[in-house]
Amino acid sequence: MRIAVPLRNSTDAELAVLKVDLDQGAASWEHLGADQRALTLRTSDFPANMGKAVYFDRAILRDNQVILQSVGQFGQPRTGYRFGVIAQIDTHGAVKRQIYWQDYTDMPDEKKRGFKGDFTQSGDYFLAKGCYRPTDPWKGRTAAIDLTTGFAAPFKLPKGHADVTIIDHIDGQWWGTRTGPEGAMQVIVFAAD
Amino acid sequence: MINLSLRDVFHVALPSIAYDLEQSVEMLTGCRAQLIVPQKDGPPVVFATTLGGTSCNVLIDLSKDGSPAVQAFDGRYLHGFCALAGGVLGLNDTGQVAFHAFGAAPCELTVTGRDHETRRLTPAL
Repeated sequence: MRIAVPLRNSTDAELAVLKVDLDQGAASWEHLGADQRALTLRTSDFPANMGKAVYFDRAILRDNQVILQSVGQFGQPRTGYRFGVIAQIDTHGAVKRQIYWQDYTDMPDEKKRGFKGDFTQSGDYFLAKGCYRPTDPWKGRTAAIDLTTGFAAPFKLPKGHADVTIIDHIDGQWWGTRTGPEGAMQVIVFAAD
Repeated sequence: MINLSLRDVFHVALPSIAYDLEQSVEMLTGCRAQLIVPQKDGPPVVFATTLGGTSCNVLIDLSKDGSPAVQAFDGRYLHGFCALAGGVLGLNDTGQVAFHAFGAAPCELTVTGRDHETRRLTPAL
């Protein structure tokens, strides 16, 4: 099994793949780039907050293709994130396909914007949540960004389950969690209609 | 909008978790499900962490209705984590990798290749 891992050193953003062999109790780093190096990502293809290095938050291998997510800057910038990007890269680390591309720099106001989240285990979606409630396009709900179409859609949960947080998509089912009565955790399975 | 309909609900009884871990209920009420770990047969295992950090990581077997079995493990390896082959693969900030499956002792993997400054793992496909 192979797992994509974004890396960072002092000068470059890189991507390597961790190959895991549980039967052998071993893992090894696969080097996608030349000269036994991790693949250097072409950061100029990705937007970044002015004067800051591009930060790649998440990566996933899907059908042997790498998809990356970036918010343009490490940490939580005082001014908010300027970008929200999900893109497929090619074997040279350049952007091959823009899947979901948000550039907030031309917004007429100075409100904070941005989203964060994670790829689902199915490899079909990125689960996104807005970082700043006043500008959250999904109004506090989690949204699923379809990695094939780039379409983002929030969830409409059944009556009585509005407080459930969707955390994953596995085998066609959506999994959520919430704190139930008396503080007990509930894990809930949903199907999409 | 993605319309969802209810399929199943698993209740995780925190007092039983607290008993198993010999930790306070107060600490575990902050437990947050992070990953669903599919199993070949039966309901999945849930990997959860506490809100305050990684000192109390648990695998919760949902197959025992209402009073799930719980297994805690060392949080050192959970700088990054992902579900893999019925368990959780954890990575710490010095590049060590360990596999945690429910009912088994943690298995530390021998890692070869360049020692990267790694951050987190993402779902394995």
